[in-house]
Amino acid sequence: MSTNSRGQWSSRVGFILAASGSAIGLGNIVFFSANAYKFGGGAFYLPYFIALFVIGIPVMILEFGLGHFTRRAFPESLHRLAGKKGEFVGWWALMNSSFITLYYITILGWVVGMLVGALGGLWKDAFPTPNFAVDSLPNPYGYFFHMLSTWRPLLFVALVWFLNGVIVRKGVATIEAAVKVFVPLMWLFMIVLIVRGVTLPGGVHGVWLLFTPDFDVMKNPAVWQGAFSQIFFTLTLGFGVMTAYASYLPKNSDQTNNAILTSLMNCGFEYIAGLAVFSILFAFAMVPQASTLAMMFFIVPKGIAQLPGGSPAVIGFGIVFFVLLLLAGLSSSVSLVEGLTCSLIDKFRVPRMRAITIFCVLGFLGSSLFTLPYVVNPGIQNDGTLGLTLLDLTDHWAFSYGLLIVGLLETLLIGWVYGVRRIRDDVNAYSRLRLGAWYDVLVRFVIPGLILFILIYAVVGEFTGGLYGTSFAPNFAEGWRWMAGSPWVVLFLWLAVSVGLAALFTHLGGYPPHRPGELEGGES
Amino acid sequence: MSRMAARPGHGTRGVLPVLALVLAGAAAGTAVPARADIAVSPEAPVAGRAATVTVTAGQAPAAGATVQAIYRPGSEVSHIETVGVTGSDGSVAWTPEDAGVVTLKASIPSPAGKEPVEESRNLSVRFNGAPVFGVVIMILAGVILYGGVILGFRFLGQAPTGLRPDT
Repeated sequence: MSTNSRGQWSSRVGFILAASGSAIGLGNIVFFSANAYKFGGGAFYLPYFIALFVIGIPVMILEFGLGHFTRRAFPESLHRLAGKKGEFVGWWALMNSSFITLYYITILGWVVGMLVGALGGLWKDAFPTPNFAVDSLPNPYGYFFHMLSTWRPLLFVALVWFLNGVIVRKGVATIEAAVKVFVPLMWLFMIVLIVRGVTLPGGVHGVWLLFTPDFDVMKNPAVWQGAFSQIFFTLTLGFGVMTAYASYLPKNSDQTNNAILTSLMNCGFEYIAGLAVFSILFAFAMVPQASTLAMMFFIVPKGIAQLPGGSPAVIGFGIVFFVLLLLAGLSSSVSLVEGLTCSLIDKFRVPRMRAITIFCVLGFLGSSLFTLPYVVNPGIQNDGTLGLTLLDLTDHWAFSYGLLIVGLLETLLIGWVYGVRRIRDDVNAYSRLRLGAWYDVLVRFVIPGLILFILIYAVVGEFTGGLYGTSFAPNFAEGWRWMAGSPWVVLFLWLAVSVGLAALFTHLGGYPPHRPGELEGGES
Repeated sequence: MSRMAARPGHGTRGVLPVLALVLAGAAAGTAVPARADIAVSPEAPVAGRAATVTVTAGQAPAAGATVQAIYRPGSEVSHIETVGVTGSDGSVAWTPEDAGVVTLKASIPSPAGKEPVEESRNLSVRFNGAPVFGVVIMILAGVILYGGVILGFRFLGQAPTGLRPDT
């Protein structure tokens, strides 16, 4: 694809599969269930479902509408609507999502490592962990931490970056070809896990647990806060990815339908993932932690290890689970890579292959930081290795705060600076389901208000409970005590690098002038 | 995609706090002189129906052990119920309040002023029949999500975009 021709999805189904593949990631399979458990199962599901319609689908329509309206990636879209200020928000979103991409791909590298382990080593009772405080740990903990304390994951991370580069090399054409295989396979593998989970003794009671509301627990505002943030994160909002994907659609596409379809597919996948995970949790009386890593690398594999049917069944279901994670993760990571690549091409007119090569090489170097195998916390009271500690701290800021701040700024820019009415009119011009004036009220008042509430709630927690990561200090090993300041350093680096690069990209170069009628819904 | 670690400002510190439990458990295991155990009859208790919790230490009934039930352990919305103190046969009656994963915890007094021995186990308390609300929400959510997807694909097939519905 040349730099001037942006390419286009060859089919509507291809676009929906790509958008839903981007939204459906590791978190849908495991983090949803961990969060649902954390907030009371059924007490969480009802608020989560309400949040889907109040915040999820409306913001998805906004992000699709933006790409459709401008036919450009996120920074240029916001530039066209709100000038340099808007463009800065767009680049900051992409820098933030680049941070996430770096460690997300490291995690996918670990998934590859666990997939290798699923062929045998992972299912032994224990695994030697000579670099930690105890000589061996029960599996899957032992296998996982042994792997992290070696350089082996670096190889897997290189492999995952290579796969990402291959999949995005020709833009939407190769992405579309990949997701047409990945997404149906993900659904198939998940169905296999559900059937196994629900047919376990007591498994169906786990399903009831996920859906039966407890109205007393629902009075707790933390449950609603958790549900609303879950919806924002699960739909990949605030990354700029959905705008980039929608920019490859023809002008007369029905964006309301696309947004509803993508959101429902994403939550439909979480629905069945919840069935599978909750049935396994209940059948084996396991207590999950609200962490994607703990859930995917420890809790679910522990359940799989106890499945009846002996070694072939355990190995078989283990492979299915880790392949499922890998497919879901790849379909998300390629969208993150494409989001930035497409923006660089739009602004700097660099050839696609050069942009991808530079991003993949720099990305690999960045991801390598999260694989550093030095054991800083031998008792594993926190994260064990240096790489995992850095990942944990980076995730806390880039994911938990970055996306929400972008979402807030995006709705404020469109709602108050540019005017949501203009986006709504453009979307309505090609949509079967027409958005009413209520949509303007949602984007201008309700959604920013909700995001602000979530952010304030989180910041208050940061003050009352101490800055995230500061409690790790007493557990660092003798030679690593200097790491006590790492939470502040990571916070500073995240802000300085993401804001600095966003400012630089905003300042450098310029966009070509709009063609007449381009922003008025004309065919382009 | 979704987040990796715990949410900001909400208790759980570190990606893998579960590991601390594993190591602490291993350490505690070395400190307990006689192995304690908690058994529940029936093995799969049902919410609202009477069950019996039996605590043993070194294969003998542990009298005077205080038993607690922690509902939804490890969650933001967990709550603790004091089940009672075991009698001379080491058992105490328990009627689980709610269905779900429960941690039973027994504190067994030790002689000669030593620290009491703590023992715990997780178990699943089943629902007393299919819960009406749960079934209704499950069906409604399924119908809305998958019905919406089917309708969406139908609209997709009819949308005048100039693209093929599929290759």
